[in-house]
Amino acid sequence: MAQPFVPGEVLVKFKPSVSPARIDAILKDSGAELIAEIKGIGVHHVRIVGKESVESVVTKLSTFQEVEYVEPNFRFRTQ
Amino acid sequence: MSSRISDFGPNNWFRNSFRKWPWMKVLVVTLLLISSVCLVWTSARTADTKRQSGGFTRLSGSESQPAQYVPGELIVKFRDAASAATIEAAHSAAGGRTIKTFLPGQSRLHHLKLNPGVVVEDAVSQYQQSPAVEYAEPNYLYQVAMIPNDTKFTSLWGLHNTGQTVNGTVGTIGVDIDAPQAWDLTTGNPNVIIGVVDTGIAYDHPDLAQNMWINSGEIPNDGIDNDANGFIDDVNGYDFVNGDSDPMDAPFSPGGNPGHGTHVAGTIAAAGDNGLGITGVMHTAKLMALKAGDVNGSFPLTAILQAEDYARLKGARAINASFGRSSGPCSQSEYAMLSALNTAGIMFLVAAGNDSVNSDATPSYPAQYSVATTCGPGLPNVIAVAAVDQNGERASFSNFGATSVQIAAPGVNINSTKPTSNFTRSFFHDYDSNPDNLGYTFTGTNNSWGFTNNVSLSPPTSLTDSPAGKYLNNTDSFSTGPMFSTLGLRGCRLIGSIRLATELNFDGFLLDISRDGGATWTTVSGVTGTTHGTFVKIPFSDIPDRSANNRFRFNFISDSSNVDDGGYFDNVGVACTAGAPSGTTDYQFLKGTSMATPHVTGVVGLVLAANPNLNVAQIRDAILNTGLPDPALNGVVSTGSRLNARNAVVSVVNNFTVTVTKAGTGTGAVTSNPSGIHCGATCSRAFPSPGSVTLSATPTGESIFDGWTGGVCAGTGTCVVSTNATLTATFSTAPAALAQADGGGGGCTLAQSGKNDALMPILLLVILGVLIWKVRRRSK
Repeated sequence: MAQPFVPGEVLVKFKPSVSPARIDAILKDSGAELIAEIKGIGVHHVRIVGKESVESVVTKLSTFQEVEYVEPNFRFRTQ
Repeated sequence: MSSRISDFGPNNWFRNSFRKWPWMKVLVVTLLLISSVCLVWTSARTADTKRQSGGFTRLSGSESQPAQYVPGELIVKFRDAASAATIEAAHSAAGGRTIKTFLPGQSRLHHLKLNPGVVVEDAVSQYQQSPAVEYAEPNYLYQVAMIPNDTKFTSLWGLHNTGQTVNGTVGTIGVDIDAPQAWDLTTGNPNVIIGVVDTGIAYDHPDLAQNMWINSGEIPNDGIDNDANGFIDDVNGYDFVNGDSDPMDAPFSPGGNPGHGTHVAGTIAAAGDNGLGITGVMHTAKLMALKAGDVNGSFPLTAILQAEDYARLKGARAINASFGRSSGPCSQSEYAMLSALNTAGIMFLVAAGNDSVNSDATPSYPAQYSVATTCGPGLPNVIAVAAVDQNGERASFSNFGATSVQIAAPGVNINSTKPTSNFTRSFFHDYDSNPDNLGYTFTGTNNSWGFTNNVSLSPPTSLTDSPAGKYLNNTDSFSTGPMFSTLGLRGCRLIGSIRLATELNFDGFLLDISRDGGATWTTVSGVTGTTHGTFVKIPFSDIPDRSANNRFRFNFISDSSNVDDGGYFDNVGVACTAGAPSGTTDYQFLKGTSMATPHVTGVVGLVLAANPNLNVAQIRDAILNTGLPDPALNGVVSTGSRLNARNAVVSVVNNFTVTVTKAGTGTGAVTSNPSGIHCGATCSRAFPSPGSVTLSATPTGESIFDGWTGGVCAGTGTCVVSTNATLTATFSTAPAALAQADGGGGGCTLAQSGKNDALMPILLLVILGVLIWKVRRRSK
């Protein structure tokens, strides 16, 4: 029943030189908002504001040159 | 002294000579003294040599773990021909007495008690000199490998397999990790922090509570982030799934989380030798409860990443990762975090996965980061673990991989700790009486939510998105429940029954949770597909603990094509953990690579307890280079080996050496706890590090102990040493020292080091010369 990733969320890593203002702008343009930054690795955990799919938002964010990588919030299971 | 002289009775020439030349008496006594000193001194050296060459029957112990024996006792076998008088003479010379004879009818084997202050090894030497004695040896404590007293220990075949039947299956002797043999060296250490990234831990289980990590920087339940780490009241860890301070393992069985994290935690470090339940691989450790998996056993990557970063910042030395995913590519953020852990020297022990596949071809993450992926080169801190059964075969479910899985460990019929099944309810809705008064609101696009009693197999009334029959396309509607509180509650989870019929993966229900009364919502789980016309009891999600203003809502979503009967919900409620688990009944058997992994994590913990200064490469080698090769594991894991705790610990044990020198004109002995130094004969000994040794100095006869010198200790108390040390114990002579030496009781401890070999007789001869000169002058 569980999906392979959390619906409505993605993880984005911006390149080190990108300013916080630019990050806000890129997220807004992509229909996403910040939930929290995962400090140890500087990755932004973001929520998709509208009804767009995770795949679509991943594709949209990855077109920005300021983005190092973007990926779904994968789900794992006990083994 | 006179009685000694009278032994020469028959020889009148001697007696007459004494009368004639009084100094002659002094000469003879002094010569006797010299010979006595040298005799005992030589025999002590011999005993030492024999010990080093294995001349003593060493029944247990090694250079780093000395053989133990009962202080102040000896076992002596007297010769058949020995008379009672010669036996008595031997007793009197060595300072012992018989307290028991063995082998009735022969009365030759004696259990002796030594006089106070007589050192065992000195007494052994003394008895061995007696013609009446066949052999003499310490009363060794026959140490078998340490078997703890935990009541369910015999069920833990993974730790100690004697071929016993466990959970209905007969095992094979020796198919285990040799845990008791490892415990002879270390049983763990409360300073070794192990992060358990899992479904939480029942931290109040009587077999776990004493080994839980406690965040010293946090005041419990004051609502303040005292240590300013971004997490309020994180005392035993944190719940990264729900964003609350309570990492209680919320169980739901069958079909949900069985208490996975609690089971894993118990295998790593359930309290050992506490007369209760099971023991972990480590008897003692600090388990950090990092809840990243929910009541369904599902882990969002973001919760895992936060948990791992928390462990890194709070000093964990190893992380147990009994979770995985077999779909999707490698994750760069996951790789980045594991890389950061590697840099911080933190081991990451991960389950290979339960899909019965070759991981070399079908990777599972995060196990696959142990080898190169498109995300980066293999990380040395990551070790992927396969599961073996009681007979050493790969468990049928276990993933394998000649390169991508490194070691195998026990993972079938594993007994460990379990959360309590007792629960208390925040609320419970069966919708059967006045459901309209419960406070539900129905909103959204194409909303048709309501209560119905027209589902044939339903209890009288249920909650549904489409009471009239099939749902509509393009629906996005909400059923929002009333506010509820979990203040004072923990381990809370929303559970209920659902009868589901939706277009799989296109139409379904999301569950949203709000902890601010409905102002903001988080989607926590979803259901889609069918339950084939029946109500199924499921755990919907975890619920934030200790939170006052919670709401939940079901969000029904359908796309633009295909409709079905929709969903019916019944007996929806929030259950929270009630009371602590039982130390006698809350245990269970589980299987999985999840259960194999914590065996490896526990051994990493033992390795770190034995040597806390190891880096990642050294720990990795200690685990992977010391396993027991087994042909059954060729091609299953890269090492072809099963985990071996004993070998792993032995490979990293450090020693420190304590050397004692005795000085002064007095006599005495220096002994150690743990045993090993009896100076006496053995004045230098290696001890396992980390650890400490307590030295005690005991003067003999009328000597007195003046104190320690050498910088490590001072004063006359005991001396505690934990690193390489050379120290001197000085004994001074009381006025009657000569008489004491003449008594033959054991004053022969003057010469211990090699450089005194020649000095000693010369010194005595000088004393002798002075004495003769003085006596001659006086007698003139």
